[in-house]
Amino acid sequence: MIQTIGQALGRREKNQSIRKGLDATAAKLLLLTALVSLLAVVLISLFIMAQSIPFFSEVPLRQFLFSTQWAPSANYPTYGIFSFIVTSIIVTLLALAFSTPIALSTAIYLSEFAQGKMASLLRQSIELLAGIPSIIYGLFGIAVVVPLVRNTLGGNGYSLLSASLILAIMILPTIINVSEVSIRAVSRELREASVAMGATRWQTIKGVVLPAAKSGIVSSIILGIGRAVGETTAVLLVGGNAPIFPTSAISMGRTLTMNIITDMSYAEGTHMSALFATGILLFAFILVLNLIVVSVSRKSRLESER
Amino acid sequence: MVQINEYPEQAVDTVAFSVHGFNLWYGATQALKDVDIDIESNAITAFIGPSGCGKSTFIRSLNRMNDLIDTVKTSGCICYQGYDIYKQYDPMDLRKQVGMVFQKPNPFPMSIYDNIAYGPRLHGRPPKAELDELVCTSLQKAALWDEVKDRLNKSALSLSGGQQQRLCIARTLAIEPDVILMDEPTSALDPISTAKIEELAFELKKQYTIVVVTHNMQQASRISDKTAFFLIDQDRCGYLVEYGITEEIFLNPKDKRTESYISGKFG
Amino acid sequence: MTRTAPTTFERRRRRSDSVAVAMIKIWAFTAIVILIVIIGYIVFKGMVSQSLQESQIIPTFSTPDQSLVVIANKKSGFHSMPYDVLRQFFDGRSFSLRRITHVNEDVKLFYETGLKSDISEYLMLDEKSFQRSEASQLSASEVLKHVSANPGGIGLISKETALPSNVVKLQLEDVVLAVHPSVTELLGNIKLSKIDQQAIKPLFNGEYTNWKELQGQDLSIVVVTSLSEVRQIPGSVALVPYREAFLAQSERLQVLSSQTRRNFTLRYIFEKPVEMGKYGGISTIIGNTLLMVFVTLLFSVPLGVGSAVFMVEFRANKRLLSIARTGVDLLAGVPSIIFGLFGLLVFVQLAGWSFSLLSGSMTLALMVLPTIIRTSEEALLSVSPSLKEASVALGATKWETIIKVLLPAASPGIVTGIILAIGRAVGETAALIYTIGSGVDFASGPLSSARVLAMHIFLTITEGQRMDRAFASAMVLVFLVLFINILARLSARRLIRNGTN
Repeated sequence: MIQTIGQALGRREKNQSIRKGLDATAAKLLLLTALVSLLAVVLISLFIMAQSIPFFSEVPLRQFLFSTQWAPSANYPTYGIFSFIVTSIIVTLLALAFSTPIALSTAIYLSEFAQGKMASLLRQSIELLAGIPSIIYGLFGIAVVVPLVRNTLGGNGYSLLSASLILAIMILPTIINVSEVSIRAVSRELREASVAMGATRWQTIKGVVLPAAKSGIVSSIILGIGRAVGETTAVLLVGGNAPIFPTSAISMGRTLTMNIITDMSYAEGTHMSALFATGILLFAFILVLNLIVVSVSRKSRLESER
Repeated sequence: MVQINEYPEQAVDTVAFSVHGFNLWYGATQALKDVDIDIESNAITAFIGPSGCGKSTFIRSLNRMNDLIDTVKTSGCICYQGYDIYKQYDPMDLRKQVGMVFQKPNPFPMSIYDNIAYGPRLHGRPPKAELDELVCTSLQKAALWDEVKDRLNKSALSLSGGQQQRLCIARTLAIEPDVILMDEPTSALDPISTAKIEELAFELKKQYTIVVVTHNMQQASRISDKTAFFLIDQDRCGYLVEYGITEEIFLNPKDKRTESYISGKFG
Repeated sequence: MTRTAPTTFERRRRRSDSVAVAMIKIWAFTAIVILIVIIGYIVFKGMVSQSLQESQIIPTFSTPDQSLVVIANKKSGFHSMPYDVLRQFFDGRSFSLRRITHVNEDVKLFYETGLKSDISEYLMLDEKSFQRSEASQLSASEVLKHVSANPGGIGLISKETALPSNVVKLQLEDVVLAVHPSVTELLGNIKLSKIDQQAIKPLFNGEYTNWKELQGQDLSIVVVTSLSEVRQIPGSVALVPYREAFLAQSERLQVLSSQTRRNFTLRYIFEKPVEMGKYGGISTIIGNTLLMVFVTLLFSVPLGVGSAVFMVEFRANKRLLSIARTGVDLLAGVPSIIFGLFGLLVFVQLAGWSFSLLSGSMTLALMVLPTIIRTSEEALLSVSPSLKEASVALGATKWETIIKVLLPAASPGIVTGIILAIGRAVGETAALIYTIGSGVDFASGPLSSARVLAMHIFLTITEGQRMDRAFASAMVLVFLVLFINILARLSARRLIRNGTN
């Protein structure tokens, strides 16, 4: 009798220790998986950087960043991406200019004015906009935006302007979502204080709500910048892809992303390294943007918890 | 004593608000029933009663802050200066004349100066000199000037709780209202700040009409001239039980319910 | 009402309030408008293709008293039969419908016994042509049967009869615009050679009186009725049968017409692509897309859910949690082209998988990881702690609690996240261009290249294929994305409903 109990207890203890052992390994496994994201980011940076190092040792940084001569197939090849940097900047700024008023209005409308059905309809539309693949935007751009630009402003139609119009639509959901959250987060008491003094709706929004939500709105714009700068497919189809220095909004241009994707199919040697170098530049820029947003949102979260 | 009629144009001088048969619903639930009360000018009126009895709801009806909730419906009449505030008054104009201080101090995340200047800037574009003076006067009236006169440009959030509440009072004073509504203004503050604000209210009543909602009966008995006692009935609807001179309410209440509430809290 | 007269400032601020509020509302709704425009346009162009065509033969015009009746199988894609096209077939010069109606079928010609000489005369053909065209001579009823049986069947019979349900009679268009040489001559940089189809009726109604109104010479328009008149009178134009004009070698104007045709057909989804996607359908491409989604989820879901579980279970260690979360945030911000580059380096080259389903899916798995992690974390966090406590109180280890209690409870939220991840994966192009390859066939294994839907649209556009094919595929993609979106919303709603229980 004692033997069987003893056996049973022994088995139970063994079971328990197996279970505890599993627990410990499970914990370690989970630790690894959690760090996978960070690991991925680090690996990506390392690999791309590694591929671009041969380039940096050959071509001076100054030429890379500030020269507008991109001629990788010439007899004396030059690798200046300044035109692409400028094009990316112009396209992004224009996209922001078009997108921010609409995005902020939508965010304000959703948090201050919207009720029930209208609000949910609007929200679902924004979700849907966010889910539309970039190739569809590109196709729409070719079929509608490019001819529109061509017919109203002349030129070829394939232009920085077309690219920024399409990008503006693409970054709308990004800006709207984050802005709305921060506008909503402005405490009811602040709004009431303003209304109790006889302010109109717009005065309350302009004077109290928007300034209080400022950091969130700025974060959303920075996220929008990151999204716009990183977009490839849509801008490739409507931007014209001419590796020239853009002289106006209707001239064709090539962004950093377009450069990478276009030349990658046939590049080799230093040319390919140059593309990876462009990639690392892009990546670094976006990483910095994201770090800024992350730290700003962490800081404001800490402040509000105080 | 002035005869108070149905249409109180004659009683404008001594009565700030004249309320007749006021009812309020949140959707289908009634929250206030048949409130009849005349709130005296240049006096402090206190609303007391157990929590949930509608005193906050009622005070918020006086400056139509309840409009911000879409499901609110009202009936009856609240007359300010002889005009029905729901039918004959634009809410933004009303709020210029009937200011409000809230339970939790809610200064804007701006400088002290900009906080006070916010109200005047809403309603006009006063020249800087005028604005400076207004800020100074308001802060003085709120007994905060000496403490902040050297740091008007610092953020209002750097002040202590009690100072912030006085800032909110100064902010309200800056729009030069006639009435100041206070919804439990000291319940979030420490005793010293509370005393300071009670002192302030006492001073302000000379120039303004003050209505205070408080759950602290000692406070009511200390500072108010008139007291209104609210209760909640079995349908969770608030109603006015008794209204009169503070001393009488506390020492010689006419209604049994008033008596049991007061003795319950005091005794 | 205001107690005092409103000052100008007061009036102005109220006006700016109304203006500001109105503008906010208007701009807020442009978001919806834009969405409707984009989706509506894609669906429209997907369903309907409009093409500009230029031809001598005037669409919808026929000479009266036709002796030949043209019939065709509905699947052939013909809506009418221009004379020159019919002639091409019977002349043996065209065997496939591909270049004409874009249908991937070969032409099969049948004609009724006794009509051979009429056909030869009408279409100006000789015996050699008939032999080349391999047209079969049959009885009338046989012609009907064969045309019905062959998707590319075209038949000529002598009189109209009842037709099988999948056979249509086609209008034989054989009229051209014959003009006097003066109309089309090159003079002072102006040479008129084309006229819009819409302009023909007004032309013959007399609404145009001078050729310069049609971008031609300054010459009066003279409408006549016979070819002989056309040859003599300057500025004259007549509707003339093709044969006559051809035999007389008279000047003709080209007619520009826009044809609206049905673009997307259900067949499209089920047919295999032909000639690298130039013709045929997209069945294998859709299959590849589904495979890709499956493999992507295979890698990303365990990793993502595991990450989320860790982040939720070990939240006590604030530093580790913050590091993990930063990692997720950063990964979420990486642009797709960078993922593509990484995939190219590591999966295609380093791992030696070359352009394959595996490379592409692994790359996408990294891309959708943050989505899955974030939604799973949220789902796990919202599981009521009492469930956890109950499990632990019964003696379960942490691991057992996670597997048997937490995950099942959080599954609606996790599933929502997976659906969202699918949506992202399906729409991706840049990350796949240099990883997944562009083979049009159904992937035979994880290491074969597999073209997916979004890629196919991209390649169709950039390789210069016909745009209406791009739109048809795009429409399929849009519907797919819409469907996924609705699924996700339903799943989230189920989550809310279950959560309130």
